[in-house]
Amino acid sequence: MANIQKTAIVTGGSQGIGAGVVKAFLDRGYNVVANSRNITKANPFPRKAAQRNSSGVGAELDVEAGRKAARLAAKDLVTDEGVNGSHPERAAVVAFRGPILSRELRPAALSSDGRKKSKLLGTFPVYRRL
Amino acid sequence: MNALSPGPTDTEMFGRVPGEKEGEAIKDVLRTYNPSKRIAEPLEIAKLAVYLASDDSAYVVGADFAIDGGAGAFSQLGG
Repeated sequence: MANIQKTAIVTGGSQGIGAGVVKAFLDRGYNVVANSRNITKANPFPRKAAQRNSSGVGAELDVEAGRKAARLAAKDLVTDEGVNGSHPERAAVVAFRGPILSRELRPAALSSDGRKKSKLLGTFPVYRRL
Repeated sequence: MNALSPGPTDTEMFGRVPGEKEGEAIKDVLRTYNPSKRIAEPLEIAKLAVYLASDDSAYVVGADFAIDGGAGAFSQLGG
């Protein structure tokens, strides 16, 4: 239970693997701050997800804190900007070929100063290499 | 910093590429050709993220974990 006071920041936590990550942290007693591009008044995902997934161990999702944290962290994080409904072909590439290709690209990204290459890692390099 | 490299995972993304029916067809193909004969559930990926964020993995640094049912390993063998 050494982890019970820790807080996990999850970007893209409204669905898919991100939603699974939110649930997994909640199940282990973490506090979770999650964000999503899909949060709207009509779709206030994180609070609902917290209710649905919470193990009852102090789990809390703070939408605004999540947005702020994501903005602050954005310069260092690999994002999934290409994976959305407006770029289905890119989503397919990331989903089906991404795991293998990103493994080839990752060492180069990690050896640089990070920002540009890390941002591209999840989207354009994988897309262009096909 | 560590990395997860998930293989095909059963998420909503399949319903968008380009539609629900097509997504199901793609999932069937991926199941057939995956050495584990299935695709992952999101929680199977997520649990490793929790481990990597915990103190238990303090000595795991700069590692890249493929969670793909064996697809990457078979690919490298030319299978």
